[in-house]
Amino acid sequence: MNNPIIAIVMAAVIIALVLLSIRRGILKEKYAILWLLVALFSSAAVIFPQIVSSVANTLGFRLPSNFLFSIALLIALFLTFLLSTDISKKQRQIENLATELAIIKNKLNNK
Amino acid sequence: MTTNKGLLVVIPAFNEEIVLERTLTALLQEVSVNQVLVVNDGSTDKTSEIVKTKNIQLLELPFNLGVGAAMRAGFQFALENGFEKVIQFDADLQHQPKYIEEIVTQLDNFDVVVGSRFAGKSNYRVSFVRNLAMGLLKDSVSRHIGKKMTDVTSGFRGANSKAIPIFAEKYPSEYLADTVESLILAHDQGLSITEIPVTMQERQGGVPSQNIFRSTLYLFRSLLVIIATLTIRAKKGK
Repeated sequence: MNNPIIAIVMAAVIIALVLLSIRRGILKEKYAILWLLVALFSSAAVIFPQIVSSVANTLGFRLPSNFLFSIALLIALFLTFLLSTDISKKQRQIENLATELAIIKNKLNNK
Repeated sequence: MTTNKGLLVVIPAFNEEIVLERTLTALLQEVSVNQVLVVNDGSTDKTSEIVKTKNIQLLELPFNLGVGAAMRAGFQFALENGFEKVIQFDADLQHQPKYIEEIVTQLDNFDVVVGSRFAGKSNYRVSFVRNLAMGLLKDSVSRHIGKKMTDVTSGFRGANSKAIPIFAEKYPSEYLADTVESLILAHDQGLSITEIPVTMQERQGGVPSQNIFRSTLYLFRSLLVIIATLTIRAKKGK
């Protein structure tokens, strides 16, 4: 992309979205930081394409875009994996709450 | 009538209104009414009402969590109320109440007792794929705990006062893992395990879970359980 404006606007939108979500309390800081980093790095890549090119070259990618796609894919994979582990943890916590609730309810009914 | 004090029979039940009444009636000929606990695993039918009419202890989970989590609730209940032995019993009367006494007796010598459908006198038959999965599971578990097991997926089992606190905290809730992984867990926590032969009855109702698609899925999950629990835990144990 020769014209970085579109990419910069997209990065700005992501940053705005993240900040807004934190303010509304619908996004935990842990994830906010991750998304902000993604936005910052992608805009850096757009503003300084020569860095991307040289890194891609050193790593043996023929096209810088291939390098960017790989990175993007890896980040997306990492984020979804993180979400899966988090959901598993939440599932466990919900189970514990549910069983505890059932036992407390049983106690109340026996009184 | 078994007069064993401190025994609790836990029945995980998910939408079992058709069979539960009959199961409870049969069960109550073997144990007394305050020795039974039904864990209603988020049923949307009259499961809870049936339990209440019988004056049996009831735990109501707010939504369906699966047999493993329901059993964990049962173990927690047993722990809090000072029960010394817990027997898991199926709501659809596949398990026969007459074996309860033998499991209870064995629990004096072993911490976990499994009612095996394949040890000796049983004529229990399953499909080829399921048989393969069960074979893989039992071989892996047998190797891990260093004792020949013939049926590691049986849901008819007992735990004593040494096993109850461990199961109350850690009983696995994932489908399939609840039976298999709990044995691995028991072994790794230093509990002793044994089997007694039992025969199953035909299901008295409810939906059986045997078609080729589900059996294949079952096989894949078994492999996953073997890879996930056995390899990792084996390393941890050393």
